[in-house]
Amino acid sequence: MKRIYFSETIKIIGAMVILFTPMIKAVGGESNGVAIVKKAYNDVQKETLDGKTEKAQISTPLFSEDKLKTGRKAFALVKFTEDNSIIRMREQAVLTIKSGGLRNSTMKEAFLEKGGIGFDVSKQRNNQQFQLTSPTSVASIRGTKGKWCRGEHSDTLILIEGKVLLRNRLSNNEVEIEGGFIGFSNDDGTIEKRGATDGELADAVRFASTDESSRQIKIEMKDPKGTKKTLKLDYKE
Amino acid sequence: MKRILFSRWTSFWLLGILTIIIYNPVFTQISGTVSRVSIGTPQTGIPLSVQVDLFQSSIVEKIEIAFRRFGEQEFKQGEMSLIGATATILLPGEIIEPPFIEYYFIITIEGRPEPETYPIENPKSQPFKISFESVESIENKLLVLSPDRDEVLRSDELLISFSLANIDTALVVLPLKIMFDEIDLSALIIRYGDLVVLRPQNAAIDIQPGKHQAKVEIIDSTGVAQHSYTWQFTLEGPAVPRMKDTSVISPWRYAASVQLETRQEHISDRTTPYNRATLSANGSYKEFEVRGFLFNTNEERAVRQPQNRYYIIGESPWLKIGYGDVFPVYPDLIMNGKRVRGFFTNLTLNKFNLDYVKGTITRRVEGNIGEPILDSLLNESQRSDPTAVFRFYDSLDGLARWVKVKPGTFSRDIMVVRPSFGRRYGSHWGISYLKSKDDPTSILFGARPQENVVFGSDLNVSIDRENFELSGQIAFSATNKDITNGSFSDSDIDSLFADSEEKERNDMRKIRDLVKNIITVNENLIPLNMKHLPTLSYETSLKLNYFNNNFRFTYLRHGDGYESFGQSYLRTDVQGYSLSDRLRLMDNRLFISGGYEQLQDNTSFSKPATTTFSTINTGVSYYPASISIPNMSIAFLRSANLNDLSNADTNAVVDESTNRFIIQLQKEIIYIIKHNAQLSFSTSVHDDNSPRNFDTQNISLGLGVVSTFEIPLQTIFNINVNTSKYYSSRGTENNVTYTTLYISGQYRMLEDKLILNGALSPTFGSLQRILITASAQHYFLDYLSAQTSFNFYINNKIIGMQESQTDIIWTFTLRADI
Repeated sequence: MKRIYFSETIKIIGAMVILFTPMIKAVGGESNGVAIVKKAYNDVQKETLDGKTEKAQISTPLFSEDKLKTGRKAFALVKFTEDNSIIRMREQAVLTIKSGGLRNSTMKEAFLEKGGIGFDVSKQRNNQQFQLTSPTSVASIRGTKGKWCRGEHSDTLILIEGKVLLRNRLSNNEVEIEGGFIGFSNDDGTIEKRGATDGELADAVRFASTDESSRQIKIEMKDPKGTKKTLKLDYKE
Repeated sequence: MKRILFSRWTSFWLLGILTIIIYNPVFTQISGTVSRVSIGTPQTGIPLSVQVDLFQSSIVEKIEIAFRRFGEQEFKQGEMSLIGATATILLPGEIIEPPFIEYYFIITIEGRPEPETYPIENPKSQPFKISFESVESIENKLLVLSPDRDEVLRSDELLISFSLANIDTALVVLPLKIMFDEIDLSALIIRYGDLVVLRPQNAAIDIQPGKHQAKVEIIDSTGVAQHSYTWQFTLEGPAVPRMKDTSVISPWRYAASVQLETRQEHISDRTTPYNRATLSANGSYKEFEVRGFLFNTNEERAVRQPQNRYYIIGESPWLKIGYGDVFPVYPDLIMNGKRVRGFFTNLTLNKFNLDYVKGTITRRVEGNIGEPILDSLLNESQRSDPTAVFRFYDSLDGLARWVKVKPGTFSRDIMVVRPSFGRRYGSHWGISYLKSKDDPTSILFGARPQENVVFGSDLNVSIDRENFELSGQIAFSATNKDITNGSFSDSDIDSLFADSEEKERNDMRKIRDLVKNIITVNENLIPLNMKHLPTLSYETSLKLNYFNNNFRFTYLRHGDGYESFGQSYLRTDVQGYSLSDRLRLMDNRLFISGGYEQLQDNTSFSKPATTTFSTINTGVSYYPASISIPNMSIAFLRSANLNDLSNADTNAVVDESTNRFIIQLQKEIIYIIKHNAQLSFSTSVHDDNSPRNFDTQNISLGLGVVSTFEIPLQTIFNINVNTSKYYSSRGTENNVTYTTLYISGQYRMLEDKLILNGALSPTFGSLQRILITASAQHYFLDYLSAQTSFNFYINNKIIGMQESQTDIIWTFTLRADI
């Protein structure tokens, strides 16, 4: 009797799967937004995992594995939905947002391929994790702000306050960077730190706290012969 | 090394269990009925979800939760919504305050006269506790992404965006309302899971420079705003003109979810199958929304109260209408926590509101009868079972025959109406009327159909941004305990009041004629006189929130005969007051709490003595900013119950006290990976100085560690030692000591598309059981998942079980979210 029942159950489940899969696939669904573009000036592009590219603008949502690219004189301010952490992308940077864990947001990662960013990461709760990463390095952030840059042969981390554990992926060497210090994680696996200069700290504060105010306006004009010309105006507010 | 370790782990965890990581796990006590308790993350002032998973849902008639704020003596109760093997409830936000919320469960099991509790022993003196991991205000729950509070930004850059990531999952699914200044822009909401985005520029409005305000509300199914957040910002630069084309975002929105579940329970050599389907769907056009819910199970039977659930609701900002199963919320003395199947509506205008519900709270369940017995044997049968109901059956050869009736349940209707004047969520005055009645014709074999009416009024004065709140409610009830024979006839009055004068009898007839339009008037009516107002209840409270203090004063009186069929959980025959204060120091990181409560019974002076129930409590909680210092909570509570009878009166004398001491530490530890450790210790000593001498002692020690690996693997390790000593009514000493270990792991793979869980939990000592659970959940697509779980319970020694047995539960669930 039990076997008969189980056999019936398996048939029912099989039928459910067959019936529901195509129906549900047809209507689709939405995944969880990990971050949002709060400000975007000039050329900012978003590239999804499947290679689709679109212009990123104010209110563009970012999902896990979305890539954000800033062009020349471009700026983007990204806010994370779980903890209000902020990343300020400067010009000609390439950054991929990743997330995972509970409700797809407890583990957050900003993977920097190119350029520089300022970060202002909120204090992470017990079940939260925030990492700044690059192909070379991993910086585990607990709640602090500073500047994270990817150079040709090394990554640079300038910390304004707090502490960050900086790890080199190639050698697994680690160093703790405190506020007021600068750390370098190099492509040869070495990792080092020293006190940041006043200029470096001021630069980190600017990266982490201020929005790029430079904007560009393009005006299309025609000369008396009817030839189109584009006038580009750069200005600061 | 981690990879090698992981591959070994994987082979073990492949069987996995769906659990617990999502919610705070509670697995410190064992039960033959409750499989698991999951609690959301407690945040001050925010409703908190509690979920109970049961082993055998078919034997559970209902499950209730008793809960109280730290320092209160009286537990409030609420019936949990039982759907399938899962019971859920949202605890009201007003009781969610640090340092603890205490609770236990009351489970009514089919065929058992007394409900069981969880925890099984001493639930009132040693209830479960919900502690706070950290203290965050309501404002920190909803994360505003844009604009920031008081931000100055350009008009064309305006974006209203916020995140629900830290909002309880039970609330996230509820509808949102977003106001830009006084304009409702909810129709423009775009949601990406927890991320909510709205561009006011897309609405047909002019956006002018200057100060503006955004307001977000999460509205529950009863229309109540469970969460509200308001912030201001300033716009500058040129105004954004009204858009000509407002069709940028479709005003039509829809969503649906389907869940199919099959479950096999092999318990006590008996396999019981369950098949369940849940369908929910909602669609909206601008601010108008329709949503529906349907739960269907093979447990639905005519001999039980309804197990299927359904509702359909239509809603606009000012009117909500629905039909189906609903848990209406009215003032506490009138109705709360009771399921009604029927029609309901809520009207919300600027200065006038109306709430109305009409439906059935119990479904008819036919009774049954035993074998006929001869008239000559009736007396003997009645003597052997004095509480039984006997009914005339027939005459056989001129001899009457009787049958013993097992009474069924009458169909019970209810109607509640409450107009109120003022703001629904602010200062207002309301009046309520409840009428409920059993239908005596609904079943053939029943006993003592009843009727109940309640009149009530409530007032709330909330000023200075809710820092000053004065509220009160008063209600008067009348209940008829048996309406079988209807109201008194004229001859009944003449016969019963034969000694009274004719004028008095005439007055009684007039009163009967007046009152019988409201409730049946006969000798079973309560109250029959107004001396000491036995069915009058009232409560009043004052809340002040100034100078970092949360001060509360409450005075209440519940008459001993007060009853509302819409509220089963009110403690009657009690009056008294309570005072409490919570002082916030060090930027809301240090909390000092204290309170005193004194209640007395015998409100009608009908008992031989008045018992005084006193509780005093004090507690300190510290949530340091630095993670190098652990979170700490220490609390002491003393309660004493005393009346002035001498010890010679062994049945009625009350002289007892309970001292409780609680300490909890919590710390994040980084050792290779991140661990979150929690240590708790509590003692309870109950000293009964009456001749009954029901002394009890309980000590509980728990250690839990949640570890998060990078792979990503999350593990939980818990050990809990519980020892109790108590005396039975025969004076014998009983000792129950047991230790429960709980080890679980969750591993995510295939980019979180496959989640594997596993747990092992042995219990040693006076209770002996081994729990092994395993589950796997796979997301085929973002919106389609399947989940299977196995639970093995090897019960060697459990209270209420005669011999050891192994129970197995297997579940398969298919879920789709559209």
